[in-house]
Amino acid sequence: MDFSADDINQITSDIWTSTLGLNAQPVDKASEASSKERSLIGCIQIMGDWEGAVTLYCSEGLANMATASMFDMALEEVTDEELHDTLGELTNMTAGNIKTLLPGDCRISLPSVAEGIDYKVSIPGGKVTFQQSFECEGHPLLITILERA
Amino acid sequence: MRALIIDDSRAIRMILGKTLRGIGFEVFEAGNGCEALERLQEIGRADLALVDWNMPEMNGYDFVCSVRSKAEHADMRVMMVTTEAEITQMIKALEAGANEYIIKPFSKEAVVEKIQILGLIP
Repeated sequence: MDFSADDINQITSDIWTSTLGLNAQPVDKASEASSKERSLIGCIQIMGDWEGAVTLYCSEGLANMATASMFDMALEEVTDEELHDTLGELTNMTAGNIKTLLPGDCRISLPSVAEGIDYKVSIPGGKVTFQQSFECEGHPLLITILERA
Repeated sequence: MRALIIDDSRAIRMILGKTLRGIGFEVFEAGNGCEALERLQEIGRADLALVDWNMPEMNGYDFVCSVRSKAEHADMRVMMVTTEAEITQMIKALEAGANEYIIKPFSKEAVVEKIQILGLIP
């Protein structure tokens, strides 16, 4: 299945603007988060007539900004629980909206969120079918769609 | 008026809670459908339930089916607040007894407008 960059960019922009008031701009290649910087990744599996997953990756700095905005709090008040809640919900919104582009009857899983420094995430049997980098407030943001082979 | 917000995301509960308090609702929260049924038993009744679809333990659709089988909550307005944007999903929820539907991401204004459509505020 081919995904249109325009569709994914619109979905991402709508979510980050209307929910957080932050501007996520598509870029050819966002500046990579430093391998020494903590980052977070949210993942939602899609099951049904189309099977795969959607992941949303961002630096801890951007996750902190998103959380502070979502919870209407100061950056220094953000806790890990709120950070995970926010990234999980942003991944849920992204995958839920992407699901509308898919053929047939599909359902989405609950979100899972991982965090760490210099880690790799693999989804067995998943092949990257679409990837788009964004820059948001100077931080990298990466949306990846994997289709089960 | 009382509103029950049912969503596993604390952030979404907070955003919706702020909007609803701003237009005069007393707000209660639950993290999934099971918790929501317990909360309804505790508070007796609610005028409005804002229900996420995709939740652990009991999802929003099962909550709507369950609550619509109880005569005491027949008057409660139910609005699905979800990313599940397909027409088939909307029809399924409306057939189960939901009254309205709003897609995430949403604006505060859109939530208020839907509550007006439900006839709960002028």
